[in-house]
Amino acid sequence: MSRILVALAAITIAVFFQVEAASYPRVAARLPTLISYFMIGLALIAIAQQVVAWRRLPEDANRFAIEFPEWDRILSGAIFIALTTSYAWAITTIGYLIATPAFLLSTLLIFRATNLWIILLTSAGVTFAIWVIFVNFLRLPIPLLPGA
Amino acid sequence: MEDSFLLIGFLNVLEPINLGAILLGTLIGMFIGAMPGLSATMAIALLLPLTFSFRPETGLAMLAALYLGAMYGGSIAAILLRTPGTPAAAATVIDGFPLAQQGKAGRALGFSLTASLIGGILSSIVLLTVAPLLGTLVLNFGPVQIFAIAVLGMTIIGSLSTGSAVLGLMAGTLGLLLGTVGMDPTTGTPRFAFGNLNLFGGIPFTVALIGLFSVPQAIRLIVDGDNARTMDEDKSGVTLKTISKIKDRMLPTGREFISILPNSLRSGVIGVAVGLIPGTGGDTASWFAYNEAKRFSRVKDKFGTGHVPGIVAPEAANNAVVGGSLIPTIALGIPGSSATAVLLGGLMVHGILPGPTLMTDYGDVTYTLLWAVFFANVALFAVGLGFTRACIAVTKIPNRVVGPVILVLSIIGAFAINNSVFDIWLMLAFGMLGFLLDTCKVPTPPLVIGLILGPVLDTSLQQSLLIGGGSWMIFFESKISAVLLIIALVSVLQTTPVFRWMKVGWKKVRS
Repeated sequence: MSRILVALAAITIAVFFQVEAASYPRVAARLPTLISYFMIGLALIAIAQQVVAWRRLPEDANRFAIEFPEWDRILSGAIFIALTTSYAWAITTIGYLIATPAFLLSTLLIFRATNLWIILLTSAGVTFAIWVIFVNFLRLPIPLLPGA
Repeated sequence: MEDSFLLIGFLNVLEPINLGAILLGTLIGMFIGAMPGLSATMAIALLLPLTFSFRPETGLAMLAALYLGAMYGGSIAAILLRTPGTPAAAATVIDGFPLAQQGKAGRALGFSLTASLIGGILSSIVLLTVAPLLGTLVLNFGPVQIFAIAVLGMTIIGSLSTGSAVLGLMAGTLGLLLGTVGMDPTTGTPRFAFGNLNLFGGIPFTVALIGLFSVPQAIRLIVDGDNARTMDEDKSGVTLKTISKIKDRMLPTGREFISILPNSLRSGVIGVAVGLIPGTGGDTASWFAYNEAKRFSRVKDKFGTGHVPGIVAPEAANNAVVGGSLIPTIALGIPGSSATAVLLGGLMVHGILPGPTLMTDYGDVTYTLLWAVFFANVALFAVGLGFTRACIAVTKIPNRVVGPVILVLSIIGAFAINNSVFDIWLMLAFGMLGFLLDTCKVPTPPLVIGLILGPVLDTSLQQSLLIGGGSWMIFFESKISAVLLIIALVSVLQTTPVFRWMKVGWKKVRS
């Protein structure tokens, strides 16, 4: 079933690009239009392959099954993505020197990565090492503190 | 001209800063490769921003060394923990771990290192000789032939990628579509930028790469925790102890070296040949070489019990893949694998555009890179002998510590490319896309290669149609492009049921 969903998503993307390209000059729209037709064709082949595979299944088989991962895995992933997004936002608002150790500490503590001392050392060590390489050595103009 | 570039490249690579970059790259690559779950591609993508401040040749030498180092590093975890550090080291587990269990971990790692050296040197020699020849041939190509090469590269990569070929091709076309974002090269019309100035120059390739290869990996490391690496039971359920110390000697004796030479050379040739085929990689080569070593052996039943040729074959092959896959990357500007695509991204970061001009306009940098691959193999041997024991500590770092650190490096690296906050969000968006594709079992390497080839296709298509006065027949007027496009069509058709129908039809006609 997931293959059908992927193919439908591909068709949606291709149609979106085609509609958007329709307003461009002919030369500018040529390649995106060509590629999107090709993508739709491939998506239709993927759907056809899935339908053929379904027809070969025994009659009592569940044709529309989608394999969902366990809820605790989904939750772990969602928490990590939320923390990452917050970090990406925080780094430009409260600065690298506060956002980075805060992100590392919270992530390592929430996921109980290792013992407390190693978590503290890792957070401080990684923040310092990246500061040395990217800010001190490569002169990266990343905001270091709030309002910087 | 070619010879002078060869000499310039050789002299360049001997500069202390470049030799230092090679040593450092090998060391970092080895440590990253030794961490289970971290691939060579991710290592290059993460460290790409580090090379910005270097001269192009220095940065590229470091990245190439990192690639080779990570390939060997993968075998350390495979031999000691029974968990391959990189997918390319999966075949090494079969004989590497049993040999280590017999108290010969040093011997197993020594053979792995020596085989890596032989395979790597062989592939560098092929790279140094074949890439320039192919490059000279490609110089005669115009936009029509370049378009055909790009189409062929894309279709082969898509159809040979792991999993479903149709999904691989779909990922490739998605990459091509995303590659058209930005100003149209002919009319200057901003396409799919939605008024966002940051997208007028197109999607920054390196930003997309960091997201696609690092974020999904970091999420997986957090979600799976250390479950993925605890392979401490064999098939019968007997607990197997992982190795935490190397007590024996690593360096093989002269006699042992001679005994592994034929197997290493054969596996090296396999690695180079597999590397040349776009879409295949170190994992395919190492399994292929392992099977061949077994087929050639007189004591087939010893394989799987800690038999040395079972370590030598995959290790020689996966390091030989590096040189092989760099040949189409350098000569044609078409990356053969996701790792070489990232290396090509390294060239683009320094303003060097992929394509036939790599061997002429940027000959000094390109030839330095070719020599760097050669020297990196020698450096790897020295670094491996000195630091393999230290890598054991790295293999013990918990996955849930590595995941967040990767994320921090990815975010800082994405910002470092253009000093742009927009790039951080773009990188995360590509990361989520990569994670979704991974979850749906859609291969990501074709998408990356599509992103690189999108602009190449765009420019060459426009130029070809201008030459042909708007006629598409221009692609069939040149024999080379016609043949390449027909091969591309066949490689697409073989992923569909059309071939099967034709076979059935042919049988009916004959009967």
